[in-house]
Amino acid sequence: MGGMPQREVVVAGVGLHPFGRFPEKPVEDMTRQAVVEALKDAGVSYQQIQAGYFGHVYYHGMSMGEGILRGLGLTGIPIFNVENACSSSSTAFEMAFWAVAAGVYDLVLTFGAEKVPRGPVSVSAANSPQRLLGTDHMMASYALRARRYMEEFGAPVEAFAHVAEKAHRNATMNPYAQYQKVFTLEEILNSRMIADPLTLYQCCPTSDGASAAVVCAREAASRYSIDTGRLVTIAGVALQTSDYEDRKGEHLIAARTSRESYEMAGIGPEDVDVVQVHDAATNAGIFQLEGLGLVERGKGWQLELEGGTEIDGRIPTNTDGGLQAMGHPLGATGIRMLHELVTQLRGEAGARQVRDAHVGIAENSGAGEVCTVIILKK
Amino acid sequence: MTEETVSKRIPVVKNLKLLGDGTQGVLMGIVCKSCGEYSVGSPAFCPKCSSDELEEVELSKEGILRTYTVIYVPPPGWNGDVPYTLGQVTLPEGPDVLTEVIDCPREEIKIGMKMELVVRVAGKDDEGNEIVVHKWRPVR
Repeated sequence: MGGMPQREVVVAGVGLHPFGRFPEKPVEDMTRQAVVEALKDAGVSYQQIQAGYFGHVYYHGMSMGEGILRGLGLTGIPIFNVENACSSSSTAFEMAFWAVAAGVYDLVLTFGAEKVPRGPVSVSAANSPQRLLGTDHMMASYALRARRYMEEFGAPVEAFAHVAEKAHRNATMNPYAQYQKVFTLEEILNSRMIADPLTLYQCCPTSDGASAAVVCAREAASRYSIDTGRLVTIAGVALQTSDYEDRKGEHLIAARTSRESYEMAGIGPEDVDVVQVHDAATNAGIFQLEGLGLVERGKGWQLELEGGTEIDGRIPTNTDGGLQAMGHPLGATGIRMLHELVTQLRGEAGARQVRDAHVGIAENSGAGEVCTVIILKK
Repeated sequence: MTEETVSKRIPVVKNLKLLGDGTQGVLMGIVCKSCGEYSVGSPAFCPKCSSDELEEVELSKEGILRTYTVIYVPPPGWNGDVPYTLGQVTLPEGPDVLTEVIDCPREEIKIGMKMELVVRVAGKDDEGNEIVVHKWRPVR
């Protein structure tokens, strides 16, 4: 579907504001903190940045990206505000990638942020008829797929709960995570039922948070005195939306999108060392591994129960805690996933480091539907 | 002038057509004259082939339960029972319709069940008209 990049593009720096609830802190301040961290990580100054690509969902006023970056200096650069549901910042990241790949810019900033209101997330407008039908329920759409998967493939509900249990265990090693404590399988399964079979601790929390990445042309990195030893190559990017075949909701979209991304990267699922998937509900943490071709359709639940997705497993997944434990500030999540991949590929993940991690893949889903798949390599 | 004081029954979505006195209903859809695909609602273009040569049709009132979930924490705006069951039903024409399942104890619901479409009053609008919604019920 997409074209091929004209030149190699790399991630030069990443930054995060911790995910959680920060009622006293304006979202602009949180975002600037993540941006400054990414600039420092890359070793560049804001004055050198040639464009900004910002992903967010909720309305915090017009031209929010401009409002955030204004606090770092008035340099007159183009700033693009991108909304693509939960895939907003991975979408912004891909736009930044293509602008650099095409030679429009050499050094750009891409970032995402959100303060999500408490309570269930709705897709429709407040006066929409779906409200009387009771069908506009984000977790219900995951639960419907979970129930169907259990019927088709004999998966037990424990397999889904295991996704949350693992995520929380991983997050105890991550100071940026919203929840940094262990939850037992029993606690997860016995928590309040939200949409059967999904209990509260199988639905990701809503959160405040911000993420940022500095994206650069490899050939330009030394000109900016960036440490080339820490650069991570953006090997594949793809973004697709629902096609007619997806209408029954079986996550075929991730399969299509990842095929395109693998093709650009010139690799296959067998080459992947570390994985990020959009586990907004636990069952998606399994389905999306199947969509990425990392495990056969219908067998992901066995892989999960056998420990295959652990940090020391065959397919280390959501090593930072994923949406389940990191939390989900919608517009910040896409680049948060890339932050973890970059950290892992650089070998800087400390206690949660995956051994010999050279290739990472991130799948970010959004309502619409939208799916982005980004492959990073070092 | 007496008719105007009588409350009317209004369907919740445009593609729910009420029949007779409004206690029965049928979902309307389109069939594409170009590719033969059926769709729920009244899209201006066929979602499969983008043709605009479409014919309005009444969709089947029965279908097969593809999947379901029981909702314990309802979304904003829901004024029905809690918990309630949502059922995704595949019509013989192909498309799925997601709405509440009623008259079915939770321990009896099973994927593959045959369901039929019924209508119920879900609430009133500001003028006192009754808003009618469609629901699934197991075929006995």
